[in-house]
Amino acid sequence: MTETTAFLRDAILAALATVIDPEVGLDVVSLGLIYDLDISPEEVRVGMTLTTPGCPLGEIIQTLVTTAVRAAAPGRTVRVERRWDPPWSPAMLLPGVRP
Amino acid sequence: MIPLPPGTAAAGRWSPPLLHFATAVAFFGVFAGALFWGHNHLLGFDFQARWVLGLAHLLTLGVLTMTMLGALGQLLPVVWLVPTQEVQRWMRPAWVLFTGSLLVFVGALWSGASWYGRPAIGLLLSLGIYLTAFVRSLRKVKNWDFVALHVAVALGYLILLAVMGTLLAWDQQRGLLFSDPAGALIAHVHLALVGWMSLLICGVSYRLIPMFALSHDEHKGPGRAAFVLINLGLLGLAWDGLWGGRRALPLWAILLALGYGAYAFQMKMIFRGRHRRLDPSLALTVTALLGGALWVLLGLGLAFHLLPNTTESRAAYLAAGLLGWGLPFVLGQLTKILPMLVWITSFHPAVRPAQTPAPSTQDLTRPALSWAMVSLWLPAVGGLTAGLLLERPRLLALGSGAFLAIALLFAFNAFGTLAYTWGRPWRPQ
Repeated sequence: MTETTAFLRDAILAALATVIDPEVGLDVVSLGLIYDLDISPEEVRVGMTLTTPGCPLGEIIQTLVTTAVRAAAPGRTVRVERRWDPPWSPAMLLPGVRP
Repeated sequence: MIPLPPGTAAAGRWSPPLLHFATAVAFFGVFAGALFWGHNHLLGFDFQARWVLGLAHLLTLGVLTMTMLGALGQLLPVVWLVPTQEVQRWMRPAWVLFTGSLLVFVGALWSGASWYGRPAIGLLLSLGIYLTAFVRSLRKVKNWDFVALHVAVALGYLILLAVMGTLLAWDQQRGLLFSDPAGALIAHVHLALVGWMSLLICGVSYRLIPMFALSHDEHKGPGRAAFVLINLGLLGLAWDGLWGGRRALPLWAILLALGYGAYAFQMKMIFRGRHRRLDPSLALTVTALLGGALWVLLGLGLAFHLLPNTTESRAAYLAAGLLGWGLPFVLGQLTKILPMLVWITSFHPAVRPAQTPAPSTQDLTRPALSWAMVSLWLPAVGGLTAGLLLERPRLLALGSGAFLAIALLFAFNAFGTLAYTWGRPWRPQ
């Protein structure tokens, strides 16, 4: 990972930390919803999940994630993919986080 | 420009589910007011009394079914990934017919009109519209899971009970269809309380409560046992009431009680694994579970003749089922879902200017009012059931008064949340 990519990765994670799940009241990073982050010169690909497949706010959270990443990585195509494997569990909360 | 999710209404316009929820809150206020005003009529009545029939249908159709139909309109698209527009397309016209028919039906019952059976046909037609929309979307479900099975079976029971209720209203003066009208009434009531209301609650609770409590126990063994036992008990009871001469009621009561026990055990497992504090929504769910246990105990008491075979005892059993079990569960989920839908309607990034801070869904409600409502549930259900069993008017006044307070608190809180859908609530004050 180059220094630029590492810097961008930190910037994207900082932007994602501002995306709050309006029901739980925590950001998507603390909740452990971001599974992976692939950065290439043309594209940023985010693999994320939701606390449950039936979350009524799921589509909105995904939209907010896309918007935040786009703002942190201007000029790159942003692709956000929802993953259900592995399914989210409370064990994925960052240490010390209590909803 | 960030697009609105499909099916989301623009700010200021209520989506079909929100419309149903607001109507249910209003009907709850009317029901509680009528219950308090007429609580003296609860002693020495019979189940054909027009005032009681009107009151019962105001609660079962106006509050419980109205909420459940609205919830299905929201739940089916997000849980099973079927098109929102398809599910909700017919909900507004169905709502107009359902609400109008219910108002005329209850009005006719309370005014003593002889033609009260006619608006029941409007209710039946409107339920047919809902069911057509829901069943069409259920056919497209790719992931046919345990919850979808509960919903499909509950909808099947809704069709049965609606047809049967219309036939009961038609046959009341004629006596042509049902050789044992009391048995037929038992079948109709249990198809409604167990088949429609309880099975839908069970299925929905396996989806919603883990989501709200952040509890992800995938083991569904007790829930599966509950599904089988409850269906066996209900079908046996309905058959016995209609054609069996009510000879095996204790057997069906035991099956239903075991089914409820298995469901309660499943819910205990879900609550044990929760990662969130008890909030008013979850507290109302726990209240409902306790009310359900009371309902089951009273049912066993009636089936085994441990309680006097009076109309008041049967009314206490129904009150425990409807007001102790069904209502707190339904209101508990509304406490959570209503602010979510209002948030989506008024604070979605598509309708809110960028850089404007969005509140949490919790900020759109007044938790203190919800907690006050939770604390009133014990005197409400306790007063009503004890007042009916012991035939004490003062206890009935206490119970119905507590329900009126609950309805007012809930309405104040709910309409306070709904008020965020008007104007531009994100504008700094």
